Amino acid sequence: MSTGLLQPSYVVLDTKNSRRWLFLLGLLHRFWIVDLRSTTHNAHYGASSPHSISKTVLGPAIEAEGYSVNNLTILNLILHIFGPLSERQMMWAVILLQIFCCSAAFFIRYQLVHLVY
Amino acid sequence: MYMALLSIFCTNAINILAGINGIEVGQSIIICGAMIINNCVNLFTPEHTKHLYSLNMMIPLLGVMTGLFVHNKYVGSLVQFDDTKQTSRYPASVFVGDTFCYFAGMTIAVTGVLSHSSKTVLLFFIPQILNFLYSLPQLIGLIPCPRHRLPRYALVYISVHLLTKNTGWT
Repeated sequence: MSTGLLQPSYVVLDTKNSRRWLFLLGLLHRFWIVDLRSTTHNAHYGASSPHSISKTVLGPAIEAEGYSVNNLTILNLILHIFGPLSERQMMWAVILLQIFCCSAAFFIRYQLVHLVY
Repeated sequence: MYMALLSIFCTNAINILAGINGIEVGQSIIICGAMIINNCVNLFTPEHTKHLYSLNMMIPLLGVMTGLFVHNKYVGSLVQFDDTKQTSRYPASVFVGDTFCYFAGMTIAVTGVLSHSSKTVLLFFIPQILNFLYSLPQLIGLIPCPRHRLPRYALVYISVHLLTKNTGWT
């Protein structure tokens, strides 16, 4: 059974090195740039949520104090901002982003040319 | 040196912003179309030869990609999902892998370099640049990087949510 909707995927911050950046990620989370989750957070996203990943794969020690963050791609960022989308909506979202950015590129190229080149 | 970096960037930038039916081809089509518009605007300026060259490369590429896009979006059998009544044509009849991403990226990069408009081409890659900058913490290893970073399908979203809510099982 599937809803046909896409949602962001998450990576568990299990290394010491990544824990060091937790403060910064928390700050970015406030501005909706990343989605930082505590893995003790209620498991909204079903069987393959970071919660159960950390419990089954990494053991209960991690799970107790675990954090996870969405994988840092703009696909996941779009899904984080606009909520779960179907694959078709996702495709048009990316294409619209590309069209918008290309229009911005034309503006930079022909209006702000003295600033860039 | 700069040319080498540009061609490496363009190929891999399209490749890492990929994984959902239609988006690799879709974004390449938009970039390609933007380059064609840019060339047409400059066609009657003194430096028209390089834009003519660029058009020679880009118009066939656009045609090829439009044909691919039709088959790549969602052409398979129609599937209706249980919970949300979302319909989707799954799977696509043509999947693009590294081969298409490298082909499109390299064609665009080489055209940009040979027609001396590599900076303009790079401007059209703004979403890919943003994606690269956003991925940088994972790419250089500050944050663990799994092999696949694609969005996932929401499986049994509603039922598990109700289960956890009703039983208090977290």
